[in-house]
Amino acid sequence: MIERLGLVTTQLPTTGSSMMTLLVVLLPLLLGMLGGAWRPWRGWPGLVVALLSLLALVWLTQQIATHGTQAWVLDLGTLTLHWRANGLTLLLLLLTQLLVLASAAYAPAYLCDAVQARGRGPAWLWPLMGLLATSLSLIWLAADLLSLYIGLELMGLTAVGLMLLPGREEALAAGMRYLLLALIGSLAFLLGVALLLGGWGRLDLAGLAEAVEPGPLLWVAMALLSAGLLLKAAAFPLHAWLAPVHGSAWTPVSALHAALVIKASFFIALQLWLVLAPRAAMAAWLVGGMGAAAVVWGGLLAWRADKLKDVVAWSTVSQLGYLLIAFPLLIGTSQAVVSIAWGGVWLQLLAHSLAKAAMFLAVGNLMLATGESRVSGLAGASRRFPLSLLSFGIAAISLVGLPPSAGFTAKWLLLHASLAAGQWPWLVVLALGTLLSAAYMFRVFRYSFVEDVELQDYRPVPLRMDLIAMALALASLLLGLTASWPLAILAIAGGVP
Amino acid sequence: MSSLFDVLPATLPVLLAVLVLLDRRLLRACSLFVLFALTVALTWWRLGFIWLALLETLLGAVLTGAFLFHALGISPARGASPARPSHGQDPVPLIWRRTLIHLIPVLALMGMLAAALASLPASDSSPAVRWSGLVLVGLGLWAFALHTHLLRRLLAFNITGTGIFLLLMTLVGETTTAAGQGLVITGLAVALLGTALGALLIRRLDALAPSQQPSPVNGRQVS
Amino acid sequence: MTATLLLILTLLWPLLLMLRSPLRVLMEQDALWRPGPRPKLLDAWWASAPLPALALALWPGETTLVLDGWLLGGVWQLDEARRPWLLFSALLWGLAGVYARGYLVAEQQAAEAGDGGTFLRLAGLTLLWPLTLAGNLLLLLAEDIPSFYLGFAVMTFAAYGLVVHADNRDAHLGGRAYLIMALFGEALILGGLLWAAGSADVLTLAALRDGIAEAEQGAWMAAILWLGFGVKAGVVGLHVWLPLAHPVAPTPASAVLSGVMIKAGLVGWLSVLPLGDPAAGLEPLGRLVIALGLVSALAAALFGITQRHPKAVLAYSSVSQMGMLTALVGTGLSDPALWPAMSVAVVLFAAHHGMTKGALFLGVGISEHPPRLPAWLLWPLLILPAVSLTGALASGLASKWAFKNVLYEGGHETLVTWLSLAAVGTTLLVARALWRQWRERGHHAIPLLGTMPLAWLFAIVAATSLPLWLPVAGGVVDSPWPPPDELPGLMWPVGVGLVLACVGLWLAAITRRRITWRLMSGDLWWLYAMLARRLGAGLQEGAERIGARGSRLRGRLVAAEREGMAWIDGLPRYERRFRQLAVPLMIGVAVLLLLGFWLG
Repeated sequence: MIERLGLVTTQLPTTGSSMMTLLVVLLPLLLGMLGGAWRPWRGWPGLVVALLSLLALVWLTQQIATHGTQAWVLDLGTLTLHWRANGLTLLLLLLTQLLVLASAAYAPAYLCDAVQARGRGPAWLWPLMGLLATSLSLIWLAADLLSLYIGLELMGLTAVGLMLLPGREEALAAGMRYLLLALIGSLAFLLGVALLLGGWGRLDLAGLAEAVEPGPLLWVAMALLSAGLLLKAAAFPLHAWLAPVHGSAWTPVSALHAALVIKASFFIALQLWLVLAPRAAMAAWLVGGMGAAAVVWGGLLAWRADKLKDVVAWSTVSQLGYLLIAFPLLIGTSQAVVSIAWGGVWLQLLAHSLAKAAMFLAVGNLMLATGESRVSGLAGASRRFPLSLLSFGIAAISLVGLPPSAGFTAKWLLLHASLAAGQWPWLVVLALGTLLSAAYMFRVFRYSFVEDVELQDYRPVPLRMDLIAMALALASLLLGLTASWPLAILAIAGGVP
Repeated sequence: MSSLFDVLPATLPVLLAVLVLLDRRLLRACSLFVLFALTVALTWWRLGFIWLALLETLLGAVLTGAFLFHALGISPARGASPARPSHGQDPVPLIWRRTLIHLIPVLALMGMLAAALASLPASDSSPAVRWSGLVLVGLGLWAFALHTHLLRRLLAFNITGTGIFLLLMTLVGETTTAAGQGLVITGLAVALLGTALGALLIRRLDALAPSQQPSPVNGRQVS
Repeated sequence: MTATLLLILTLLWPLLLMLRSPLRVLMEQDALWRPGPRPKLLDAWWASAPLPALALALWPGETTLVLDGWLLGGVWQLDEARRPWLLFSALLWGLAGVYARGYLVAEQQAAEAGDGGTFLRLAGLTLLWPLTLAGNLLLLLAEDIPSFYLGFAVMTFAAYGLVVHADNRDAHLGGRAYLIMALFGEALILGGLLWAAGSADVLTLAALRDGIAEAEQGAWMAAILWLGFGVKAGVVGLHVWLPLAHPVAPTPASAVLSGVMIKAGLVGWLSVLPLGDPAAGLEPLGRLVIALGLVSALAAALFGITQRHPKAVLAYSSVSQMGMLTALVGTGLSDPALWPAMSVAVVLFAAHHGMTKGALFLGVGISEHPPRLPAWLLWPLLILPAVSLTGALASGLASKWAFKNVLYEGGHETLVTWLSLAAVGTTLLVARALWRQWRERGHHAIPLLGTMPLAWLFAIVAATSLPLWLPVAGGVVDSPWPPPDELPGLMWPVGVGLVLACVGLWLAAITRRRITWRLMSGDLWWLYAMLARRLGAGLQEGAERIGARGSRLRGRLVAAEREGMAWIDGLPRYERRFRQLAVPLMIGVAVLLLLGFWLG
């Protein structure tokens, strides 16, 4: 299993790839600082520069495809940090860069034309966004618990900061709750790390994988680590902070948060389980049960939600449930099941990230255009804002999991894996989730196709904002047609077929 | 005599933490917290972690304390008098049943930790510090679940964090001190940043709250 | 390299053009519902959709494009077998597109002036025309089964929009018949492809043919696929949509429907049936196919001459001609040794029929709105493709000679005789069509140099000179024309047909009695419809009986639903508890997980 995560390698990195990795990690932060200083009112200058890091990433992909997994050991005195980059890392880095890029391109128009944000908020947005990208990259690359801890904390605090930027009272109240729970979650994480360090005296994942032996110490440590991470990942029943936080945040921030921040906690949790407790089937079933409950609970609340953003936020809770089903499918199952589920899980993560970001942006556009935040306020939107609604619809196709979207392919793989593993309850969950998500998406459409209302004043949204949402939605749809491509990247470099 | 020198730095923080968490006057609680942080620094020094003692004094006592007082609306420029007298009051009465119910999960957690620690070799140098760390974690979490006042939750969070740091440093062996210190320093920085963010937020919330509201706004509950 | 780029462009260009006008409308949000002038929809760009395909067909050399990421792995290729199909299809699509710009000029003006309904209908046409074209081209170029099926399905369903363009009662009847039969056909094709490809475990058409030849149940697979594609090719019994749908579509759409799209069925047969494979053992199926083809050819001719609408008559003629082609394909199954020579004749015949029928359909529009040409020039030009279709002249003569020659060499004289009888029918049909065109001719002259007459003239030239430019099996046929001593054998059906037509005309003239009864266009459709109605009524009766029993149950379900909804609406109140108890819940989760780890 740890081969799949790229933790076992003897491959020494080339200087070029080290430089490129540093560029990928640090360039967003640098750009963020510059953006904070200059506050761009247009998207394209930042985009052009940010393409640099994307290019670096492409170069890195090339390197890794030819040389295999790269591992770095950073010696800082007596302290050693471990990083690695394999196919999975690359895929997640690529996703991060793309989504941050899209949000950054969306933000100027949003801030300037739409929200007319004043004050220090917009100035803070850029460095925080850069810092978020950097901390996410750190999390994807980290192969030891200290790096992971630093990345997780950096990401958590940055995410809270981003959520607070609108400065409205409800945003602050929700943000305060988020801050406190995120801090408590990281304390649980730290406690788990402390126990691991005390027990086996090392923090690098590859070394721990060999050293640990099952026993109360490992179990308690894993339980604490998982509980903290699940709290941060908004897994049912620890999800209650999520919807209020999204309700008042800025649209591009919401998109980034739902698409990436939550996934990072999930990624760390899954990685730790695969490394430290690869045979704990019973506990994995419990996590899967939480996922199943999340699918149903999130789906039901999204279906009845009153506000548009709540629908999307609840749908995040529901969709995260699918990802949690990865635990029982990957932990303690046969190699055949793992090889199917592995692709399904990461594809689901990609598909959901792209579709959810697109959906948040589309919903933001609709809310700006209609001036309404409630679902019923969409009446007549089908005539006025066909493009925004189209983006929403395409993203919905992927979220519901209709062919040919990536969501469909991912669900298909998960379905296939649970059949192969003989874990039929997940079939029911997947079917139920699909029905519920179809129901809440359809509900939004039903309101927007109501024709017999007089529309009051509405403001057209800048075309740029519509196009970015559309591009992301199309990406999530087309990813389904070219699903073999991300799966191939996943397989290169250390990943066994 | 030597045992007293061992035990005192370990028990003093626990006693102070109880006082911080249960004091009904917020100003005094914050002052006690600064004292608490100083005793923890003393403990670090006793354990031989000079750097951690310095950092704890700087980050934990001075800066965190400054932000806590800022949250109360006290600044050095305006002197030590609280901007509003209501800050001194804790509007949430302590109810015994509630207190006990919130103790259950904390006890469960303590049980878990104890079971895990039992399987480890006993700390050769400082068993007392390890136990005081454990008690601090429990106390902090219990207070965090119990209180709804934002400032008190921040205090509880800081105390839990300190407990974890103490626990962590008693767990690390000779070879892994650097890793442990790295974790603790990151944790200290995060705790400071979190407290700072929380304090600023509390001030913002106060400022945004309608002024005609008769009840003390600082007692705003976030559930 | 250039050829590969052309191949990609061939399929992408129509799709890009398709997206162009909706995007233009969407960009100005609101443009659809705003009164006032609208953008021009049918411009020259729109008509350029098949140009890359044409360039690809004329580009020398073969090319193959392998797309691993596409569906299950895409293989698109242009080889010598595909080139003639691509060439004449792209040419006719292009001509019909140019023609449409003239034909729909009135609608275009109305739409530009701000008539919302017309604008929407025209927008639908501008959208679906390139999409249908893209589907058609994909099915011609695809070598992998998924792409082939995708192209076929896209073409079939997008063409529905072309059929119902007129938006009146007849159009909807035609559209309904088209859609029902198309669905039936698609189901058979999909089932057959899945069965055959699944049992042979293959993904390309060539491997599929071998798989069917080797499979134990090969005869059944071949029969299902033959029937499925037979819907499109208008095999007797399955042809009922043709005479209903072709006449109601706008004339350029009729031309491509009857000229190109109907050939998709034939292409389907050639792609999936193991023709010319002696090991396949499909001779019985072959004989059945020949028999059905001949029935098709003769019955359609007999039924067609009773029709009044020239386009309906021409549609029946298409059924009849496709029947002849069906019989020729059948020989590929019943007499595999003959197929290598026969396949050349089939391609020539199909291309000839496609182009000529296209020219005839375009001519219907011309006779309704004649250009400024003297009648002595106009009518011979209208008659020329008709004569060619009967096989007395030009491309018709060449293609007829091609297959007769092969059949004589294979010793199938009886079949030749039957096919000659069908040619008599063809002669009668085109005579009838031209007669109806003459009776319904218009007087409103349009300029000669408009897009409509030019496209029509070019179609006539291309159709009659077809054997001179169509590359069949690697090059143009060397000597397409029959030797002079064979001419009487080829000409007699036309003579008989003409005599019969004159007799008919004379009889009609002397009796001076109008035939008051008419056979409804669409023949068997009405029978099918009646059977379906009976079945529907029976089912409804049953359903009502069950419904009465179920109404009580329904009441209970409604009540349960209301309760359930109330319960779901009450769920958010638990959210508050979750928020308050986040930390204890987290510890609870940790304890639970510890328990899980402990249990194993």
